Amino acid sequence: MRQLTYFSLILCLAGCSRIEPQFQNSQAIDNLRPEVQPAAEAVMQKYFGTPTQMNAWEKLPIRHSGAVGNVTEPIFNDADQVIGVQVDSTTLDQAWTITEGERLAWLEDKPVSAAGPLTVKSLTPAADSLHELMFSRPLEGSLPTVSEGAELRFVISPGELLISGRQLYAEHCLHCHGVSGDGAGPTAQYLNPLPRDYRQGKFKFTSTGGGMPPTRDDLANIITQGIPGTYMPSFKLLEEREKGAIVEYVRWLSMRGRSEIQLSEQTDFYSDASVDQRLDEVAATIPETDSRKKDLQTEQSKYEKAKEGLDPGSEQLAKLETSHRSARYALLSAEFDASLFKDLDDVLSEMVDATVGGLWREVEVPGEDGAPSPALVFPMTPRPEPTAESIAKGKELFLGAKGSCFNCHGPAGLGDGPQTRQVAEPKDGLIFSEPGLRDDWGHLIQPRNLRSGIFRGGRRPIDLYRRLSVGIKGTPMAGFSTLVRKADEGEAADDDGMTDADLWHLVNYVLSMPHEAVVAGEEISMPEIVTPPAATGETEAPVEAAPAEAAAVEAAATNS
Amino acid sequence: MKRLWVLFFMIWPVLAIWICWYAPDYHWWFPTTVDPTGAASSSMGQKIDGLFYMILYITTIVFIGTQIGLGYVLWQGSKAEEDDVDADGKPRQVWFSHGSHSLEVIWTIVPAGILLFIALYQANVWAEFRISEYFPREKINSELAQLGINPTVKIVGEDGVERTARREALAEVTARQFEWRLRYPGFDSEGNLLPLMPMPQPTDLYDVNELHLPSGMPVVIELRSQDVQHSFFVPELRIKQDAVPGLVIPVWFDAPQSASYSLTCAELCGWGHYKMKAKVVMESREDFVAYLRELQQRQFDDGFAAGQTPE
Repeated sequence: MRQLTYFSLILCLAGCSRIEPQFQNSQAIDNLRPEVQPAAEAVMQKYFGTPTQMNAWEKLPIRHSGAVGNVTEPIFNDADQVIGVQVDSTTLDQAWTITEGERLAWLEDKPVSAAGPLTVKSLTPAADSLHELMFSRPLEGSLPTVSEGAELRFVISPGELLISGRQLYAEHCLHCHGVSGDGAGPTAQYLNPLPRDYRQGKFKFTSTGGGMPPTRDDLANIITQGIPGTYMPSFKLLEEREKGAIVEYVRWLSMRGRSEIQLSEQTDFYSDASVDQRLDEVAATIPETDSRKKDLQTEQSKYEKAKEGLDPGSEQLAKLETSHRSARYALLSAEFDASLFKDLDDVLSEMVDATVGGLWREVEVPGEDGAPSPALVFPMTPRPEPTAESIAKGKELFLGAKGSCFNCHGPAGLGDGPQTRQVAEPKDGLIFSEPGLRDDWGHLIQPRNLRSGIFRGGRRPIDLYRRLSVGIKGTPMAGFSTLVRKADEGEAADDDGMTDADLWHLVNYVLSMPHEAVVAGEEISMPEIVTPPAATGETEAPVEAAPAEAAAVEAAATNS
Repeated sequence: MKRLWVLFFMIWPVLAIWICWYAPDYHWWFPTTVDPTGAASSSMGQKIDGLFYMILYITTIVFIGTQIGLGYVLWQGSKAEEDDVDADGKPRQVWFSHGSHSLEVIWTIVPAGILLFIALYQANVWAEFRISEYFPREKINSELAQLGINPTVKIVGEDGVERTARREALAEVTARQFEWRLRYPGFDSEGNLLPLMPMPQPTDLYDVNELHLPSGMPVVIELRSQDVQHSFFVPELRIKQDAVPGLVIPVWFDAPQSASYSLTCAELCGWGHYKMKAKVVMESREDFVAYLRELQQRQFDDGFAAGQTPE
C-alpha cells in the first residue's frame, strides 16, 4: 500500500494527473440571480439531465433509439403473462434490430426514461408489414391508456441511441468541442478557427434557410467530409449508425444549450419585483402552525423598522431590500423554488414546441408529394455552363455594388477587403478594439481567400449556391436571399435584387477563381461604384478603400 | 546453486525465442486482414518481406549462437571449484581475451561483411521502390495507356517557357492534421481521363480519407503534406513513406488483389495522430473509372434536380 502511495505521488509530481472533464451549465444559467437559479437548474435537470444521466424527452425531435414504432393492435394474453402488439414494421428503423430482453417504453409526451419497464420477448414477422411484438408482462399497468383512435407509439431501448452517441462523442469530438458542447475542450485552445459552440444552435454550413438549424444530413455530411481549412477532420470510416448517433447527440447538446439560453432570457420571472411578489404569494400559503411563520414576521418587522428614515432610492435602502429578500428566500426556498419551477416548466415546454425543438423538427419534415423539405434551399434554375461569359458576369457582380463581395473578400478575392481593416460594431455587449470582422461568438474572423481552392462548406455548386443564397450563419457573410430573387433574368433589369441566374454567375466565378491567373502588376478594373443598397450594410468603406486595395492586390500578386 | 543460476539466465533467451515463434498465432505479426497468412499483398511488399525474413534469419542464427556460447561459458564456469588445479598442479587461472588482436579482427570483419552483404543485397529493391529512375516504368505506362491517359503534358513555367513533362500519378495525397485529402484527375469534355497536373485544375476531383486506385498494375501517387511531417503507411502492402512539408514525393505500389486496405499515419504528427485512419480501395480498372465518374457527378451537383417535386 505504501509503495502504491509513493508511486502515485511520483506520478502526480511527474504531471500524469488525470483531468476529469466536467459537464457545465452555460453561463446563461450560472449568471442568474441566486434565488431563481435552483428552479432553472431543476427544470433543465428534469427535461435534459446531464450527459451521463440523460433524460430522453419525447418533446425534443431526437431519435431515442433506432426503433420507434406505431402499435396497430394490442393483443392481450393474461394467462401467459404476455402482451402482444401488432407493429407496423414500416415505422421501424430497418438498421436497428430488436433483440430479446430490450426495454420498451410507451411514448406519452413525458420524459421517456420514466416509462414502464416492459421487456421484449420476441418479434415475429406477420403478414405484410405487420410484426407481432411480444412482451413479458409485468404485474400491472402495462399498456398506457390512449384515447380512442389515437396512435399508440413506443420506443425500444429508449435513450440508447443518445447514449451510444455520447460515448462516440466522448471518443472523437469531446477534446475539441467540450463536454457541454461549448467548443472549449482541452485541445480547443490550440485551434484557429475555434471549434463550434453548439449551444447557440448556430451552424455555419447548412442546406437550410436563414435562421434555421441544420438537418441531420448536414451534420452527418460535416462528420464525413470534415471541414478543409479548419481542424475539423473527416471521420469517414465511422459507420453510418455511429455517425447517426453522434448527430443525435450533437442535436441534443445544441437543443439543451439553446434551452438554457432561452430560459435565462425569461426576465419577467427574474426581476426584483417579480421575485418579491412570488415571495409574498408563497408566504401567504404558509400555515399559521408552521414555525417559519413567526420567523417571517420577525424578519418583516425588523425590515420595516430599519426602513424608517431611509430615503427612497438610496443605496442603503437597496442594500436593505436585497438582504430582506435573501432572508425571506432562505426561509421560503422550498416553496419558492417549487412555484417558480412550475412556471419555468410551462415556459420550457412551450419554448421547445415553438423554437428550440420546433425548428429542428421543421427542417426534417418532407414537403408534399415527395418534394424535399420546404426549409431546404434549392436553386430555381439549373446551373449554367461556366462559360467565359458567365464567369465575366460573375466577376462584375463580385466587384460591383450589387454583390459587394470585394468589401470583405477583396477585389482579387484574397480575403483582404476594406472591411477587414475596420473595427467591427459592438455586438452583444462586446466592444472590439482590434480591426477585423467578428463572428457571432465575438471571435476575429477572416474572410475566405477565394483563390486558395479550399471550400470549407463543400465545393459542389449547390454548396456555393447555398452559401451565397443564405449566407454563413453566425458570420458577417450575409445571404442574398433577402434581396429580390427571381428566376427570370429579364425581370431584374431595373432593380437591385440578385436573380437566381446572378447567383449562378457568381458561383461560376468563385469556382473559377483558384484557376484564374493573377499577373503581377496587373490592375483590377473596378466597375463604377454606386452606393450599395442598405441590405448589404456597408456604404462608405468601398469608395475610400478601393485605391488602397488595388495596391494591396498588386503586392499580393507579386508575392505569390 | 551455481548451476541454478546458469539455468535462470538461460531461461530468458529460450523464452524470447519461444514467444517469437508463437507470436503469429496470437496475431502479433503481419496483418492478416487481406491475406490470411499475413503475406504482403503487393509485389514490392513480397520483396521487402524477403529482405525482412533474410535479416530475421541472420539475426536469429547470431542470437542463438551467442546465447549458446554464453550458456556454455557459464556452464563451464559453474563446474569450477575454488581449489581447482591445472595439469602442472598450479591453481587454475582465469584466461583474459581482452587485447587479442586476431579476435578483434575476426569480430570486426565478420559483422562488417554481413552488413555489407545486406547493404548490397537490398540495393536493387531500395532503388526500385524509392528512386524514380528505377520505377517499373513499362508497367506504369501500360496501366496509364489502359486507362486512356496520355502522360505527356505541356506545362508553361513562370518564365513563360513551355516544357514537356511526364505525369504518371493517378492521385495526389495530401496529408494534414488529421486526415488525408485526395485529388484525382478529372475527365475532359469527351469523357476521357486526363493526366494529374501539378497544380489544381478545374476538372480535378476531390475526396478525403478513401483513396481509390486500380489494382493489378503498379500505380503512382504523389505525396504531400500541408503542415507537419506525416507518413503514408499501408501495412498490408508494406508501403511506408514519409510526407514531408514542401516536397512532392512520388510513391508507386501495386496490389494484385482488389480489396480494401487500411491506411494510417506512421509518424507522430500531433495530438490527433490516431485519428488519421483511412482506407485504400484497390479495385478493377473499370470500377476505378466508374468511381471517378461518380465523384465527378457528386462534385458538380447543382442541386436543381433534387429540389424539384418528382412527377
